[in-house]
Amino acid sequence: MTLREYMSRRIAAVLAVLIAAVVLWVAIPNESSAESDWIEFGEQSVAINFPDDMVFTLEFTTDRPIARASLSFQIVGQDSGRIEPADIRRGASSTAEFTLRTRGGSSTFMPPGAVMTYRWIIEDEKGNSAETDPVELMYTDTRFDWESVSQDNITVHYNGPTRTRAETVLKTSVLTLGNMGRLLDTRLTRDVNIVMYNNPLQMKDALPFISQASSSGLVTQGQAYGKEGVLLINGFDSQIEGIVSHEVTHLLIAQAGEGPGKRVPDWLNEGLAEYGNIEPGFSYDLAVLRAVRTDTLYPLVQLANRPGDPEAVIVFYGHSRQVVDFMIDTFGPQKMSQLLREFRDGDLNFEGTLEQVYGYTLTEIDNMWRDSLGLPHVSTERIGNRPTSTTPTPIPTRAPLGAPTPTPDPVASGERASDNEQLLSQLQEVYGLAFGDPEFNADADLNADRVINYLDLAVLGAQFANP
Amino acid sequence: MKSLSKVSIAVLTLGVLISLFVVAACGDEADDDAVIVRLSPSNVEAEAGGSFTVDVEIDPKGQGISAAEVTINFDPRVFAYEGMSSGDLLGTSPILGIESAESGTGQLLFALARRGPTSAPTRPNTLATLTFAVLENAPSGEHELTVYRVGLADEEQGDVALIASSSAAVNL
Repeated sequence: MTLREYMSRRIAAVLAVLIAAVVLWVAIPNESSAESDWIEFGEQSVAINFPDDMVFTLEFTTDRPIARASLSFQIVGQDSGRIEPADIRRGASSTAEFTLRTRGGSSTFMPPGAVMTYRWIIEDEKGNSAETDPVELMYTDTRFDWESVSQDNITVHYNGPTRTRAETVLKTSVLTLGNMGRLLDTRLTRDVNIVMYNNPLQMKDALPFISQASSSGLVTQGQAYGKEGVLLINGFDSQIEGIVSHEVTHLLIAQAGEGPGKRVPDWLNEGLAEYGNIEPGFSYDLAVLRAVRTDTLYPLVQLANRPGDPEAVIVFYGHSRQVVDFMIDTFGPQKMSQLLREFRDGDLNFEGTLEQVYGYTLTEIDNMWRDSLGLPHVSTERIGNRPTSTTPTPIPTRAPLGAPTPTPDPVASGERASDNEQLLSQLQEVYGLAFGDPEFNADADLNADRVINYLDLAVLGAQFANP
Repeated sequence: MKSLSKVSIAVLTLGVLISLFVVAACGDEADDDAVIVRLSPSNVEAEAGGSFTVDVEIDPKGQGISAAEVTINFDPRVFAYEGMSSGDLLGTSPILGIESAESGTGQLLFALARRGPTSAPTRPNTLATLTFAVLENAPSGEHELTVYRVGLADEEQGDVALIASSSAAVNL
């Protein structure tokens, strides 16, 4: 027998043993099932202590010594589930108990309205296991009694005598899913739970800690959890239709462009959500204008994550929306839906996908948008260095928003007057205000459209003569 | 040796006390710089079915104030917002940017701006006087009106960074 023949026979023998082992493994009955006869499952329950935790309990009876009890669970829509060891109280009837923390940062937080599936796994000391049937339940804010209205795959949960407002939210959601779904070439296939609160105080405890922290300057009026298909909103904001359409668009973006390990950068996510906003305010545009005046506009490449401080967030929203407007107007909606789809399904990172789909880098697109407004290009020094000061710097050589080119003036008040002309031009464009018009009633006109940033309001007020 | 230890301990203790004093003094100074927004009076007596007013007073601490945006939280089961009139802080006829208090939300948001240029300092004064109704079935006891959020623009229309606020208690 040659060495080659010997090796071939050895390999064949090993393969035969392996195949036999697999056949035996498949053929031998496994005791791991929900119908095991060595254990009897009793009552199981879940106590929701909103917003802190959920306590899962299972009663069971068995003659065998138990090695461990575990709860296997997964939030519907999330990429993976968890299996956690439970405490066991042994007795004639034993009890397994597991407490799931639901409050805190992103690792433990669970939004009310999230649906989860769970099952218990009990193992004896010989390694045999038995499982309960899977159970599906919705994590609910137990502080209130909830009712709901539904259409298609959307359910709006509301508390108190607020059904009319809940119906408005539902109608706006359906409208937005149609409009933005067509633009992004996607259809929301999963169930969505919209949990509507009646004021920010009610909603405060339903938000993760990080959102509460940002309330030092901003009040969270809505928050979308794309993977979980949950939307939390303050239903009694006067711009409720705008908030709902914005947040529902986030859910569409999550479906169209995100997957395991894939996250759409914040500037595109928020820019698209604002594009889908059917009731956009103009305070964002004014904030962008102020950022241009003070040279504090961040390059897009630095906006994969939204900035922390409240004033910069407002600028970020306005900037993001304007860039998305520009991209859709210039390259068409098909490119946008293609970008999201190829990012979700492809192997490239976001910036690589963008360059492949649009033929330009992110900074080149940023500069094209800046060109369209007459702004200077992103400076290479600025990339990698977020501006840290709001100290006014010399105004750009070309004015934004198509306004007349200002003459550089070393006198700060001169610059401000010129900038204010642009601001007033915007106010006039949006509101149709005519400041020289004796019929103009600033109180009534401004109040009719709600939010105007108080800093811009101050700029507006300064245009009037002293009374 | 023993007396040297006592001296060391005394010096160390004195050093700690001086440090604490300096830190406390600096803290007071920082607080002194903050623009103060308060509800006045801080204690209000009212009756179910009646109404009351509170002033939103601002002490600009030497700065100019050109605009203000204030959010007041209240219990909507106890109070209903009825209206506001502007005070003298922002001149005789300030612009009203927003006045929003939908029934049932328990939150009032309003913003006012001075007409015309602002010069510093703005003297401490009343920004606005707010009127609330007490609901007929309001439970007796102490209920709070809270200054939830404040934004102020200075004489250059820039953001005022340091703001301290205090709330008011309404006794029914």
